Amino acid sequence: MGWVEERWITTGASLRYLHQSRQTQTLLLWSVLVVSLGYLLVTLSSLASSQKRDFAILSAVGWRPWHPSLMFIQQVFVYALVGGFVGIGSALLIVRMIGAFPDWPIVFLTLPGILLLALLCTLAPLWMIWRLQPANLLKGGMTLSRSLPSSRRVWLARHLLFISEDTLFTLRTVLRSWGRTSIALGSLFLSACLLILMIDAILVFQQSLQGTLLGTYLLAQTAVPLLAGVIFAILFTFLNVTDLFLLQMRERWQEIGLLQAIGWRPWLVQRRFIREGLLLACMGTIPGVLFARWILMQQHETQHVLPLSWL
Amino acid sequence: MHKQQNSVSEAAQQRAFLQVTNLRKAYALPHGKIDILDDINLQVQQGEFITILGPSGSGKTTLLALLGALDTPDGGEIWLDTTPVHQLKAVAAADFRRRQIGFVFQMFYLLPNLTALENVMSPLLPYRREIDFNLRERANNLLERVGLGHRTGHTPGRLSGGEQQRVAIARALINQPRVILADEPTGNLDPTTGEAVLDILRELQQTGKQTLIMVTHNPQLASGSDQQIHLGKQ
Repeated sequence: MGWVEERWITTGASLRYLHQSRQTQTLLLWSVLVVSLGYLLVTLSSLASSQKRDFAILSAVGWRPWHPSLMFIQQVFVYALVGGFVGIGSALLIVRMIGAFPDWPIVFLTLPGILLLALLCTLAPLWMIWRLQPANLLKGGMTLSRSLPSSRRVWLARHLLFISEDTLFTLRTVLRSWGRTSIALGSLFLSACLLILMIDAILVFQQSLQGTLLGTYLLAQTAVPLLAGVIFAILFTFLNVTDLFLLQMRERWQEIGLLQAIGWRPWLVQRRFIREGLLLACMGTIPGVLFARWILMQQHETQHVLPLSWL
Repeated sequence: MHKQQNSVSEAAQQRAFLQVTNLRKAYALPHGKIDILDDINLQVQQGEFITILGPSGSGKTTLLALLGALDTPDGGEIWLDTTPVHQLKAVAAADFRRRQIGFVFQMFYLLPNLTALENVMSPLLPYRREIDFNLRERANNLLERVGLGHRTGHTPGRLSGGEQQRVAIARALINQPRVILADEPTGNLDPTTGEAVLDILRELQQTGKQTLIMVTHNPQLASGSDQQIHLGKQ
């Protein structure tokens, strides 16, 4: 009876962990989706921004307002199609390598899903293209901006917050396109959350199931997908952040050339980009890590059955 | 209704080909407005060569943008023949630019990913089904006429400044516009190349009997024009 009772409790606990892990996986999948949307939005906005002048030229030579938008949608469609096929192909390869069977309805729904997401994410860049003012963009010099900080605010920042002019320059560059920066920060925030929650979930999963008969079996079965999940999350974050910075840099070729022309050494320009990247990364990831930690603490307090990982 | 149409056509007959009346344009900045153009009036006849002169910041480029419906004025009127340019918005402005205007910019503004031939074709690329001539053939002819028949497949990065500006001129003429608006077309070129480019522009304009309105800082270039418009700083 004692043996049956012990087995019953162990199996019950394992099933509860399984249920818990299912909930965590759903949460993680949604987080991946939200982070993907964020990055897609930032990437497409940067892509549209880097082609602003081309769109202005086409508008000046008589293209109707929706022609550049249509051209942009076509570009996004091609990217989504190629990226989607490569992604699905890679996923199927991994599934085959670990000897599992793909869920075909999900596989068939993925590509239309990716295309739909990509098209949804074009809405903001399309609005940007629609509102282009070719006369301003083709003036040759800089465009007129109403959002420059007043000299009083600059003075306050310098003297009250003890921010050096150089740091202020970096800060202003990072914040110059506030909408896009907010989305980038949001994506970095969610990426940090996602990574912490995913790694924690795996550690808790391992701690909970280690040593039980069912647990050892489950861990052996899920080791590869879990590891692939973590590697995917890290690579995904890395690639998207790199893509984001590359696109932002492409938009600023002229600025880089100008800084070098007025005597900045190449490493000074590089340092400026690194500072901007670090600033953006800190502003996005630190709150993300703290928020993920708070979620984990809350989860531990409400569900004592779950152990607390080192995170 | 018929009476009104008559009065409209009479008014159009009395007007010059291009007539600008009391034109005003200001830009809003964080610390208030800057008047760029204030009460500008001018009359241009068809086929004329007009130069606009003035110091930097006097609104020459802004005036050109308003004449080409790239921007809308804050006040006043611009009539090109029977078209109220000052009232044109988005789609109507785009159609007006495509049918009536050819732009030549100081910075050339060619599309870097397209070849010279594709750049010349670019204004009419989305309208290929609506046009009744061979677009590629016309673009090739224009490139021949500006002396670039041998460089049709080159991208702007592989062309010199003078060649890029000649491609830009060919692009401006692809739609056989009634008005060519040139914003310091020789400003980025050395004097010899600039002169050659201007000769090509003038020759093509005279052949096509188009009106050429050109912004320039060069009084020598302006001296050959039918009319000089001097803009002062506000």
